[in-house]
Amino acid sequence: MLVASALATGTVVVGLQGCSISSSTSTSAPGEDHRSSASVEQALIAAYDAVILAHPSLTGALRPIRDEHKAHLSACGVHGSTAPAVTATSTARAAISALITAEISAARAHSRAALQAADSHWVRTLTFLAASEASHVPALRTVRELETR
Amino acid sequence: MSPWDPQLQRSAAAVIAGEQAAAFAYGVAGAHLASGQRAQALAGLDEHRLAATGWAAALRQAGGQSPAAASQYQLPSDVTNAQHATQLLQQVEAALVPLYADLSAASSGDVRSQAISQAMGCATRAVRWGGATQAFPN
Repeated sequence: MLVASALATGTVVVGLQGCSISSSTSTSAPGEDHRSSASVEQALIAAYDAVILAHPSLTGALRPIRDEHKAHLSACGVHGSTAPAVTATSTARAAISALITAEISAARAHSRAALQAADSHWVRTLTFLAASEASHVPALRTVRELETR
Repeated sequence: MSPWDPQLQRSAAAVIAGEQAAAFAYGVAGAHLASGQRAQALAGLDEHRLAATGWAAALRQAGGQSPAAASQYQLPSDVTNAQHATQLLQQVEAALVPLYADLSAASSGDVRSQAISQAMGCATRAVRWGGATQAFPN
């Protein structure tokens, strides 16, 4: 197999999955397992919003990651965030560290949920969510390093 | 090990082919990287080679046929410097994530657990090589 074809295949598959998520979630209310994953995403969005509010200089770095959690939330069948507002920690560095911890536990929660889920589409979605959240950790570490300089 | 259903076998074969291609890409990229990054690339090469042989062994044990590695792969673009090399590694790592997501969806238990860990590892390495984060890495 060519690398090029692997890349192309991956893109097509993800595109299809995106469609299936939105079509399936628009027709039925999210179940209990979807709601629990959605609440993980809502808490993350609230945490990012709080850090951005307290440390506006981090907006450019954090907003794209925050928006990825909005996309995750939509994939859980929930549109719009209703998590209560939270307060960010005092220093930017400490706030980023707290986001790193939150991302790690979110990745863990979605991995666990994926292991217990029965619906294969949902398992696939949860695997993407866990992978995306794990990948936020090195991105946040880079943001934290730049902040301490 | 009990036989794997056709969907699981196909997903595993796709992961194996993807891992073989990734190992090849790491070999190419490593030649264009300086010491620190080269060591990281060699570690990545080992990881992807191990993943390919590990999944191939599991697939054969489960009654499937593992795809053979090609001696040459066509890369999405020419790699002539360190920047091209890290871009290639971002792409191959991210491209493995949907393959592992498919494997995760087609499997259960230990196989699913390993597929999820690998999806997380690949997405993380894509960002470590300088790739942008993605809501659905691919």
